[in-house]
Amino acid sequence: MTALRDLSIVKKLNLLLILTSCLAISISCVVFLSLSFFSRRASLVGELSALADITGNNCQAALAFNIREDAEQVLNSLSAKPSLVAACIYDGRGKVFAAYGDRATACQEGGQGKVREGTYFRKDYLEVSRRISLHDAPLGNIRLADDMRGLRSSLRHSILAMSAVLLLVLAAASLLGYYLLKRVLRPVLDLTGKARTIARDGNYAVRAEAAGSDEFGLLAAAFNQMLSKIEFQSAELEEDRLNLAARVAERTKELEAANRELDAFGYSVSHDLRAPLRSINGFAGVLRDDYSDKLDENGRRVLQRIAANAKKMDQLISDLLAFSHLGRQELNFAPVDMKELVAEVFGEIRGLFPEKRGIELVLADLCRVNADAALLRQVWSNLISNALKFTGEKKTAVIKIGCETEGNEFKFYIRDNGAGFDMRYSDKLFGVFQRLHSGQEFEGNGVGLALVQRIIQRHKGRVWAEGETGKGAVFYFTLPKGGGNG
Amino acid sequence: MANIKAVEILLVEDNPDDVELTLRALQRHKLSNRVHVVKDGAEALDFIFCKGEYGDRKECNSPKLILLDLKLPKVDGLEVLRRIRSDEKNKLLPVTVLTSSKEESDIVQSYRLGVNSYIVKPVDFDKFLEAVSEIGLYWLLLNQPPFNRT
Repeated sequence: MTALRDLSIVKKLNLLLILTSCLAISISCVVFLSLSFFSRRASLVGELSALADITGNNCQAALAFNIREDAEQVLNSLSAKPSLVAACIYDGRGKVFAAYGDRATACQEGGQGKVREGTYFRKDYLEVSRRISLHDAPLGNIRLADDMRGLRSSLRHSILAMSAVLLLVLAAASLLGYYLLKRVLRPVLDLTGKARTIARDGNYAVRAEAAGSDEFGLLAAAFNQMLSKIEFQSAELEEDRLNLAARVAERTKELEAANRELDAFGYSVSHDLRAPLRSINGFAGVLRDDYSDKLDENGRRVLQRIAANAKKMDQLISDLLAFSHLGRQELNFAPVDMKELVAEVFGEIRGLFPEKRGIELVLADLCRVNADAALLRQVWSNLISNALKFTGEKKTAVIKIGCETEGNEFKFYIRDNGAGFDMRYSDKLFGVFQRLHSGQEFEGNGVGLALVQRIIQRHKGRVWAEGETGKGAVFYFTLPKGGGNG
Repeated sequence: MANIKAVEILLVEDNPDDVELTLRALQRHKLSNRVHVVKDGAEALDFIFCKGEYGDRKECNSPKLILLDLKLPKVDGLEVLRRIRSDEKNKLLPVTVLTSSKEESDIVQSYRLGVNSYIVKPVDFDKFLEAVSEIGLYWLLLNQPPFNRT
């Protein structure tokens, strides 16, 4: 069925035409032939009946006087009709009186003694039986059997002729049909061809031929209209795209220029701001070393404040630089052994807190992630420093670090039992320079957590914290499983 | 100014405060009288190649160590380094960059040009003293120089 469906429309319609013609012609032929046959047969029956009557009459005398030879002579004259294959005369008692031709055909014994009058259509023969009577007194019967050869042969000829006509007509119809169909369907074929070309080449300037105002014509017109629209829209889109591309290029240039400026700025900051700081610190130190005996306690304290502030400013510069650098830096993603990293960082930072107090670290197995190791190091560095810093007042600092898998994220946490914070201000925790404690309680400049947040955000993760004043705090951050690329 | 003949350390530094603090640090180990100070890159090159105002350095001896700042007027530190390293006679001179810049690009470029070590000047005074005196001790006393010295 699918093979049929995939035939060209011209062939399909042609096939349809041919089939219809075939059907029409076949039906006509059959009807005509049948009628012809039956009428011919009817006339044959008439003919035979007449012949039976005539022959029967001619045998009246023979029958009446029981002269077999006469009857047989009359019957022999039937040879004039070659299709008559047998004839039989029965006497009044139903016994065969005289026969001609093939006895087995026409001369079956009547059985009951009576041979009925009538016409019988046997398999190969037409049988006609008539009564022979003399002045209304039945003498006997005559039966004729005809093999209908004429009928048969004429039927054969008719069929042959009809078939020939049929074939001829079919051939002519299919040729004519093909040619005519092609002409009629040309608009559709043209349209199909054009549509295929357009789909393949994307050239929307192509148009279908105008094709009158029948359905095909309307189709072609609509098709052309659609194409015009597409062409127009295509052109508009292309223009828009070019405009956008130009704007993007422009913006990128501007951004790159801005970034370069920022880089230069950062460089300048890192170099030039520090030099005077060094001098301040340096000469304060010189004063301290060389003139301490000329200074009283207060003087020494003042000097110490100068030095401390210089140091603080230096730290601030470092943090700010790191923060600004971070935004523009490219991330290097690689598999990171978090547990190892944390242990290392903890060791380093622990060394900066030499106070004699207990510091207990509970480090659970940490999930392996795909991230920028250097930046993660900074994250842990800040978080662990904070934890150690804010547990400074506890006898024993307990710090727990772990990881949980939630959905398609890894959730890391660091929990400490330090000073905690007021949850009401938790949204300020991660702001740059935002602090929830004064510099006197705990030192720091408020950039550490902002840095952490920046880094984690660049990894497409989230940071948040929970805490309770006096009871400690937990800092969480997530990293997406896939690695948060880009 | 120290006796030019006995210069063992050439300090290339434009900031007079830094000069004073550095000399002070070197003084800790009595190294400050072997130091000659130049205040920009051009002067540094003149000294090393015995040109310009140092044209009359008769024997044009090389110092044992050059302490080189990066941000210098006239000729900057990296250029000085490049010129030293491309001179047959002086390419083996020990050079330590002593700068406040921690920029990756500066560090990498310095090593590329063949610096022997790169020290970032600490802001903390005590640390600064320590760093400088260590450098002096190391290069002058512990380290073997490439040229025979008296």
